Amino acid sequence: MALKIPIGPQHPALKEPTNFSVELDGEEIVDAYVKPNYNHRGMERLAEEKTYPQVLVLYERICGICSQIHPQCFAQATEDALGIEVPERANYIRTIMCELERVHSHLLWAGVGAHELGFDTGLMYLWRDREAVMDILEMISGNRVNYKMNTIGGVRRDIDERKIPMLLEALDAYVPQVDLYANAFTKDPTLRARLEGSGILTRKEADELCVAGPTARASGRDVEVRRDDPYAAYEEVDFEVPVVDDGDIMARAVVRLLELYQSINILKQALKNIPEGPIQADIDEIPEGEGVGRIEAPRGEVIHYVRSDGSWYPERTKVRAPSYVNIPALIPMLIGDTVAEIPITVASIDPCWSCTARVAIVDTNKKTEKIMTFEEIRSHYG
Amino acid sequence: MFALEALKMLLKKPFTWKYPFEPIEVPEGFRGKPEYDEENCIGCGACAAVCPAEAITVTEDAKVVLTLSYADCTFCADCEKACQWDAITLSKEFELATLDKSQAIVQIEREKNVCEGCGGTISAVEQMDWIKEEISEIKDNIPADDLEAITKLCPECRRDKAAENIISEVYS
Amino acid sequence: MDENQLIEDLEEELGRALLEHYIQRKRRVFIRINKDANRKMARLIKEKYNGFICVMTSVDAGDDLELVYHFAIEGEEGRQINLNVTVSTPKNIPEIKTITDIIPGSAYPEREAQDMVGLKIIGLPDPSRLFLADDWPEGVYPMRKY
Ligand code: SF4
Ligand code: SF4
Repeated sequence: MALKIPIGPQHPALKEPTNFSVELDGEEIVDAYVKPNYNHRGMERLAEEKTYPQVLVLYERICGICSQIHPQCFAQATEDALGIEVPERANYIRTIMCELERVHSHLLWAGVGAHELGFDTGLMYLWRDREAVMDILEMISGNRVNYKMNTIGGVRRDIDERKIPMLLEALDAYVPQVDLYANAFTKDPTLRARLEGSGILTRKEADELCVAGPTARASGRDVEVRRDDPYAAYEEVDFEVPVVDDGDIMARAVVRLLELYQSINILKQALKNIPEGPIQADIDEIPEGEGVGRIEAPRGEVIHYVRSDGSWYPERTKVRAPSYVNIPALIPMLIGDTVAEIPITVASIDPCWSCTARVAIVDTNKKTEKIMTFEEIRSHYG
Repeated sequence: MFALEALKMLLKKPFTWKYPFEPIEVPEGFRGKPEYDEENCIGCGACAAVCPAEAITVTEDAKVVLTLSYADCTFCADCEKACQWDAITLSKEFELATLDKSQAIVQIEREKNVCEGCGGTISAVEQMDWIKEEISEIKDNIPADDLEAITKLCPECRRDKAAENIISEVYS
Repeated sequence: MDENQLIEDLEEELGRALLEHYIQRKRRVFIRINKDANRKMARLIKEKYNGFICVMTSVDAGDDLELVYHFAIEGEEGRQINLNVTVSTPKNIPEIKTITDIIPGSAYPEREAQDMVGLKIIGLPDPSRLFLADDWPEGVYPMRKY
């Protein structure tokens, strides 16, 4: 007899409440169901009531971790729709901000992953090192989160030339730390036993569900917006795109760790080659039009669509965050795994609610869920 | 590997701050509590118009009243950018938590010009002075009387007066 | 395939069903097609252009409801072209055929379009609500404007 266990939607550590329900046969998961409809924030509707610069502030708050990516993506879409050319220096500053955000997000993810595995020393170390990136972000933008760097047609703050040597030094100090974690994750026998071979997403499933980001690249699906559809200054920097074919949790960890090296590499190039010049374009008029912005966020592709009707207010905006495509991929990942692997498998796609927690309300809900199954069985055989 | 690291760290100071028992420093360019400089403000309301969170609201009755609620503010500094008179700036203060919401509100008031015709109010005194100045800079052949009328009469009374002038010119 | 070749190819494949097209800039192509050609379009994306779906935007455009498919397809030099396909349907017949059986990744966007503007996606395997709460009233669509 199958046992259904609901996970979520409410947990103190969850940012975005989502309800999971897994069906078990003994220890093994035979079916999984995701219900993301617990809370819809209605931001797209709200954005239609605000002017373009005001929407930037709103979209910065879509996510506390991607608070550079979302407004930048919206700005890119709007710039396309309104036909605005962004100055070179602004493009470089955007690139730098994006990569800093990726470094901090991947370290955060690795910390959460370590915590889900019961490896809390790793969590403490990773988050300690993450603080250094947060300090850099704070130094550039003024605040730790919600940087308010973007504006339609460029960026609002310049990077002080005098700070660049300091930033380069701080980045160099990162490489040995990343080595340390890469070793820990890939060599430690306990971690390998937990991570290898579980939560598998095959290439075929990944292609069918159109998954994005490190989740896709760990299953051999080679998509990367920075290379495929370059924005900001990515056409002018060299980097590699790590792709692994295994499709398990270890592969997703490896892809992210390798990306950390690439990000540091990109950051160094961008900081060294940043050109002089203005950081904001002038806006003369607002024509009718539409535009699409695509960005590779730490978790995968972010895409924004903007339609302008010639007024100060956008007629329609659309936001797609990467977890939107990665969450459905959890179902094939979970099926065939055991209950103990749920937290790390869910965390392995780095969903925005990555702390989707231990089965916190099992005891209270198990009964009703069980009765439901009974009824199903009875109606089936009765 | 981690054991060695852990031993090393035992001899070091903790990485965390003792905040709130010791003060914490914020960087250059930090965006904290927005503060009005009442002296400089001309009551134009530009800050309220750009505010994405509707944290600043303007009410106009006998006076222009600007109300800023920290509880709604997103610390985006758009108001600071919009104000041409440096009358609102974001300070470095960030400890804004309070149990009483009325503590999280500041209000400033600007006097309004009173219309000599109907006794109603026109607009903030300093704003009208500035408008007068701007207009005289753009166009220098405006009769002094008309320029004065901007601050003394409300738009409706000005229209009436203009109509009266035309009528009297035509019939005289 | 570059942007111009793509348009030529689409003209050939879709014929009269291709209503409008323009190339906005490098890697950005916008087209408008007849709504009955959407399944053909999806098959082309999957089998010929080697692409995938990013998301769909549902728009309330007055008398019509519009659905914009945002695809990414293979371009030249290892880049991708972002192909945006708009279909529209009158508000009194808000029906569009599903493409989920061709591209399984379309399930979430199609369910979202059903929730937000009340488009009916015909043939969707699991048409249950995606983002609206279970106790949200029937027939009320948050993104309808007119
Ligand atoms: S603070 Fe500045 S923008 Fe706001 S009303 Fe006063 S002068 Fe105008
Ligand atoms: S900082 Fe931003 S949110 Fe706060 S009052 Fe100024 S404009 Fe409004």
